[in-house]
Amino acid sequence: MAEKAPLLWAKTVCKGVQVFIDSNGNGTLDTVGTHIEPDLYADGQTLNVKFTDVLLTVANKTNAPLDSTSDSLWVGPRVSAHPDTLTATGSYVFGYTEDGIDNVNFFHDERRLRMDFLKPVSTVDLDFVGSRPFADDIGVMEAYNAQGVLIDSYETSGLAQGEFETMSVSRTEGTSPLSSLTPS
Amino acid sequence: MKPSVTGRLDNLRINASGSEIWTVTDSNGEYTLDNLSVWCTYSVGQVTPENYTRSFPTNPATRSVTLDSQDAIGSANFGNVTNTISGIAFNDVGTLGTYEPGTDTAAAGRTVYLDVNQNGALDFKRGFHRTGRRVEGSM
Repeated sequence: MAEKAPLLWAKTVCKGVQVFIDSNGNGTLDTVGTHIEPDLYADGQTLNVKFTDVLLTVANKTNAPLDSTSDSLWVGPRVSAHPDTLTATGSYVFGYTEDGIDNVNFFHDERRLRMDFLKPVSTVDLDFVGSRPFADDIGVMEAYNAQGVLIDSYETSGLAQGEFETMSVSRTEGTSPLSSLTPS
Repeated sequence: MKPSVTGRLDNLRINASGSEIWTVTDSNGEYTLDNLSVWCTYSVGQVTPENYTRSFPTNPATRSVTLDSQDAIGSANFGNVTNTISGIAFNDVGTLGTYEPGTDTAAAGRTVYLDVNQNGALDFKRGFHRTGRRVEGSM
């Protein structure tokens, strides 16, 4: 009697799968927005001009975007994806790289992640993960309209290392759409 | 309190008016779609990941959930299977390294496995069954 080939069967969970309300019943997710998951990009890959709906830049403490252009002598600050053990999903987070400073996997007061939307946006969600072992971290996200007026903001609760909270901002119906965001 | 100086940023979702409501499953494969209206019936779908095939539901591809009270929590599960990998084990009589019908002979009873931990060896673990045909995933 021939040996039966042992075959493998195991259940796994599907992490990172998009689930949606199919409000128009066409069986597909219809969105005019964007989902940017750092896990989908290579370690250190530049993300500034990667997307059609949003421009990502590194901003300074006044929220002014920093020039990301580079030449043989200088590498401008640029948003990039980096591996990390402290994530909300997967194993990569947003970070930045600039001249002499490679692969920073967090932002801070002098180096903020700025998003400028190329068409009107109603809601933005971004996960913030606490990272310090013996102190809570607080994430802040601010939303501005096209005139640079602050129209919404979100501040997380104090988060211990590895805890995360989704920061969410949205425009109120009838008001200006979101134009830019600066989480820090 | 001062804002964080070291916290990580991850998983950016941008929605414009007119988008359908969506979320992403967590490390347990679980998801929550909240802030929905009661007394409404929703069709819930999933975007099937690349290299997977949805095993259920199939027709229709969405699941219908009705929230019929203020405290209602509906549920809708989805199943995914990886796409099948198939091939032939053969005795390489022609020594070309490729299967030559008529020259090479089929090798029955050979063990084929998914080297999940990439150690080059077949590892048996308790709890694995010998009856399935594919590695399955579930949400």
